Amino acid sequence: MPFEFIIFARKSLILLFSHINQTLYYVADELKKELFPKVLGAMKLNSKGMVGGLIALQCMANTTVQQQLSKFVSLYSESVGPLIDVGNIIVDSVLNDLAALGLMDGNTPQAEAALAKVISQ
Amino acid sequence: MLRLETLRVWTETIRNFIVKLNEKKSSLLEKVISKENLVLIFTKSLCIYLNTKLQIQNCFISTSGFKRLDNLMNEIKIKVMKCLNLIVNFIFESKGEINITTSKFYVLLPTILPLMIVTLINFCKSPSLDLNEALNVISFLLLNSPSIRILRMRLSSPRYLF
Repeated sequence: MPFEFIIFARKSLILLFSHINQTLYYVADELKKELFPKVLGAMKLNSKGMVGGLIALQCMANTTVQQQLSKFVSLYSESVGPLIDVGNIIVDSVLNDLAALGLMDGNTPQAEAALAKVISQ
Repeated sequence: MLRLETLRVWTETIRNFIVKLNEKKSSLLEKVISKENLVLIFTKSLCIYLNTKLQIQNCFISTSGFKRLDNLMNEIKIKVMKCLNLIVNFIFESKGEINITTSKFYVLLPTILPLMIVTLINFCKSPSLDLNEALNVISFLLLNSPSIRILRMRLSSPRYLF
């Protein structure tokens, strides 16, 4: 259910931005400008908030039209730094989780539960 | 706690940027290759695996035996590989036009590429998995395809019997 919600929320955001893009560029830009700091803030939260921030960032990138090349480049330039920081944290956490899991006996219920935790959020 | 799903979405986000930068104007990938830490995260992502008896050693492909984990990790790794392919392609195409020798992506290529070859060799050599199944090859079609039939006929003819 939560995943379905995320899919629909993502579709709604893309629809909203695309629709505004077709009619009024500046409204979409204003919305994105307002949202961007919140998106960056969300990426620093726990994994669920982080996923939300990342999906919103994808929506912003996907709805930047061809004519707005400079805006797309600036969106990339402003978000790549925080993205790399977040990526480092995620990869290190996954490596730690899997290292701990590797020490467990694979057939035990504890290992199964730990594995489910590593996969899901 | 941060999980693999988050890493999948992160990889998707980065790939989205790289693909779009390449589509809009390929020279924009210069902005990607200048990011040193990005290639380190990519390399670390490729090296993520769960150490089990089924995991093939020195192999980027996850074969831990936990299907859900393997699928998710391999999906992440495929996305990383797609990013690397685009970047490597850009590096080779723009050689001479821009200074790529200082880029970490270029510097690490001689390290990453041999590991990819070792991955392929070790994966194909592994006795623990059915290669046909792993590569989604349907044996029936393979054995009955016209080219294979011709090859079998030729092999059974006297001049090939030595």
